[in-house]
Amino acid sequence: MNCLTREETQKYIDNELSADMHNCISNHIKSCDICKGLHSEVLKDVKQLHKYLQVFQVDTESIPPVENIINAQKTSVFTTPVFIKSIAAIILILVTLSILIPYFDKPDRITESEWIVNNLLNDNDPNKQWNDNQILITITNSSDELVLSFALDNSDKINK
Amino acid sequence: MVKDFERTYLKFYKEIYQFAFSLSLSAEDSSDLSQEAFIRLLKEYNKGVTIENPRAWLYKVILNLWRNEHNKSKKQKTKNLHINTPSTDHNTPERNFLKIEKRDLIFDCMNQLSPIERDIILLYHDGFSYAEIAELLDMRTTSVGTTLSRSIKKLTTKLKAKHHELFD
Repeated sequence: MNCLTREETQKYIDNELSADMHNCISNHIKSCDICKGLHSEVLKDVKQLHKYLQVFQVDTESIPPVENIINAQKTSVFTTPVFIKSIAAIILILVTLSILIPYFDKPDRITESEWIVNNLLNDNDPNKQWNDNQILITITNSSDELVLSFALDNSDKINK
Repeated sequence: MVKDFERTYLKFYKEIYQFAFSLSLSAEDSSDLSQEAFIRLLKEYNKGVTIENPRAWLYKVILNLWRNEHNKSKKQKTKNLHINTPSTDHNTPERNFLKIEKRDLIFDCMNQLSPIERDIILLYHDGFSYAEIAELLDMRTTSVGTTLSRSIKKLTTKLKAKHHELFD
C-alpha cells in the first residue's frame, strides 16, 4: 500500500472509510514510520481544534419557556408583511384613482343642453337663431367650461 | 404534536444556541436565530411534516438564516464581549479576560477561512458525520474529507503562527 495522504489520514481518524480500507491503513500505519508520524500530526490537530472551539462554549442561563415559541408561531395572517404590503398597494391605487377620475370625465364640447340653457338665459331663441341663419359662437375656458356665447347675424353684427 | 415539539426543543435548544453563537458571537443574534429556527420547526410539525433528523434540520435552518443575515449586512458584526460567562465563577476576572481574548482571536481566524471551510469545521466539531455535513452544506460526501482536512490544517496553522503564546 502507498503512503497515506493527509485526507486519507483524516478519514481514517474519523472512521469514514470502509472496514477493509480501515484495516488496511491500520496495518500500514503500524509498519510505516512516515505514516505513523502523519497520523500523530493529524490526530494532534484534530484534538487541538476541538480544544480551540471550546472557547465558544457559553453557559446559557436557562432555556426560554417553550410557550414563547408557541405564541410567536401563532402570528395572524393579517400581520404578515405580504398582507400589509398588499393592503398598502391597494390603498395607494384607490387614492390615485380618486385623484385622477375627475379628469377622465371631461366633455370635449359644450353639450346641447348647456347651449340651449345658455341661450334661454341670454334671452335668445335658438329656433329663431336657426331660422335666421345666425352663427353661434361659444367660448370655453381651458377646463371646457362655457364662458361666453353669442350669436352673429348675417350682417356680422355682434348681438350679445 | 406539541409534546413532540417540546421534547425536541428541550433536547436541542442549548446545542442550537451554541452553534448560532459560534457563528455570530452575539448572544442577541444567537437567541433570535435559535428562536426563529424553532418557530419554523413548529410550523412544520403543525403542517404534519415528519422530520426524521430534527437536529440536522435545525442546524441547516441556522446556517441558512445566518447566511441570509450575514449577506444582508456586510458590516462586521460587533462582538459582544459581555457575553454570558459561567455563573458558577471559578474564573478570576483575569482568566475571563484571557478566555474572551482567545475566543475573539479564534473567531477572527475562523472568519479568515472561506464560509464553507468555517462551517465544515463547526459541524465537524459538533459531531456530524461526513454524510451529514455533505447534506447540510450541499456538497459531495467525497469532498468533505478533503475540505475538512485542508480547513483544519489552515486554521491550526494560522492560530499557531499568530497567537502561539495563547495556545501553549
